[in-house]
Amino acid sequence: MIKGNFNVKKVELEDEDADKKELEALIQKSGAGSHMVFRSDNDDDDLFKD
Amino acid sequence: MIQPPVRVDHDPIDIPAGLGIMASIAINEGHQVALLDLNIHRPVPSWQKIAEQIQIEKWDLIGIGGLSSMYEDIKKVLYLSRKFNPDALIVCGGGFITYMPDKIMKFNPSIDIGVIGEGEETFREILQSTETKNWKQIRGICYREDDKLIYTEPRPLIPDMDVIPHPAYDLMDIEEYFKYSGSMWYNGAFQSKRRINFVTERGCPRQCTFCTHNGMNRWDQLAMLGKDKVKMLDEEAGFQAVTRFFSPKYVVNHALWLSEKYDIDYICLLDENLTSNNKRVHELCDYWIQEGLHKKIKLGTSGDAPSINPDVVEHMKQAGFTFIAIGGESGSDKILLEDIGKGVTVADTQKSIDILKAGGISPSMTFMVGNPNENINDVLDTVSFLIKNNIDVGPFICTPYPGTKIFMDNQDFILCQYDERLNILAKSPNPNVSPEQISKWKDEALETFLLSLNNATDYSCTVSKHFDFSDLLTIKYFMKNHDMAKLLKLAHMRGWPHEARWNNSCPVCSASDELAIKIEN
Repeated sequence: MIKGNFNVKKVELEDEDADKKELEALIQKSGAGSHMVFRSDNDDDDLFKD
Repeated sequence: MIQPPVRVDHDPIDIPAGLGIMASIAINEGHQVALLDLNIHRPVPSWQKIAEQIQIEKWDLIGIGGLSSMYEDIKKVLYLSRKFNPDALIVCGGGFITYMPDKIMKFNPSIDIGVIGEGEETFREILQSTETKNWKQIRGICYREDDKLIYTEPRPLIPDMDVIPHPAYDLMDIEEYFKYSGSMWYNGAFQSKRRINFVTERGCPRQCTFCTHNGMNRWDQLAMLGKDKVKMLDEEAGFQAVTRFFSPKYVVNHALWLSEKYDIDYICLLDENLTSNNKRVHELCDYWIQEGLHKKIKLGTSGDAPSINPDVVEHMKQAGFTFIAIGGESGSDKILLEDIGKGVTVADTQKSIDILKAGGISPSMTFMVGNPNENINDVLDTVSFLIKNNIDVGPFICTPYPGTKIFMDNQDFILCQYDERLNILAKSPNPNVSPEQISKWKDEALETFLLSLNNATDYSCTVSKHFDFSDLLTIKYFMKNHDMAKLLKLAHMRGWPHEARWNNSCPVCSASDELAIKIEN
């Protein structure tokens, strides 16, 4: 997700939505086609408090 | 440089080219630069993960760009950027700040400098001034000084587009984007495996009332700065054009470089209106074919109906164009000419479709619903056009993005949709409510409006004089399905008078006529 012209200390993303991706893959495999997009449903509210 | 997510309801189809150019400029100025691309992943990572990425280094400067339709995510990115980098200089650019810098700076105290309009030269000068902080000498910005917002003189448009560097592709995960090559659902593009998009034009000669040019052409300058300032810029830097193009040589060399480095098989030229300059299209196609690119890379782009002719289509076909996207917008000349001001008629659109089909290039049409004076008869005209040409398309909802003429003409009407107090006061003024209070409510409503903006496939708000949000969503659905009968039934349900020429398609009128005949008999 982040790339630099110097050695950026990357944080590896955990695949926190693996189950949802699996569901997407299943839906696509079924031939129905899908452009379902999920936002994380983690509670992020605290992040936006001073 | 942080690229916020774009159209999260769709696969990511565009590399962050604009921000990539800014990254190139920073690299050329000798800086260490990183690009945090929040658009590359679906699902979009959680804000917790994004926060982790933002705070992995102590950044001196954070650049964020985007359109008004991305405002909700931009606001959150701004907040987190400041939270984890209290000393960083935060610079914003793009359409979201260009058209209302005072409000955006007010709503987002994290922003230090707003870049208004075309940003390349401005950003270079900001980078060169980070030590002196002598912002007042930099044209085309607004910045904070002692709790005041200072605006510098406007900057003329870059006269020679070829001085603009290529985006910093090395900072992008291009291979990840290639996974979504086929997600561009246009003829040819959807079959691509290694597609890339870039822009070879800024501006458009047309003045559609729903459109803007991110402050980068004469129409926008006139709306933002007024005649006198634009005249001064003309005298200083040459005529401020409605369209500017990279030279064919620049475009072809760029494509050759991309072909060599990434082995691409498709380029979508995301120009506002590539065909508007036929002479340049011919030059581009000549040079493209001369360099043998027509054998390696297919192309797609956009154009406008009056500039489509058999000669240019034949040449584009030879060069490898598989589609040209054209804004059909409406099947009603009244809407095209009076509401949209496109300067194009339905006959022009029809002619362009016929020429493109005959020439073997797919016309990819877009349409819309909800222009201010569009009534059910205009909607039915559009559906008739879609049926006649077998066009399967979900129309966009006419959305008053900041900077558009429909936004400027309808500001109070828009704000009333986001604050019922304003709505009530618009109908029944109340002397007990102070102008200061109303002004505060208007600011709150404005930001709620900005936060609600999405791409125009969704409903955000309306400028229609005839349809409310429930009407528009219903009409959009039936337009997509070419369902004239349901639309006419809806007209009767809502009490919208439809013209007699639709009677044969109208189930209510047909039934009434049949029963009337039976009674007469």
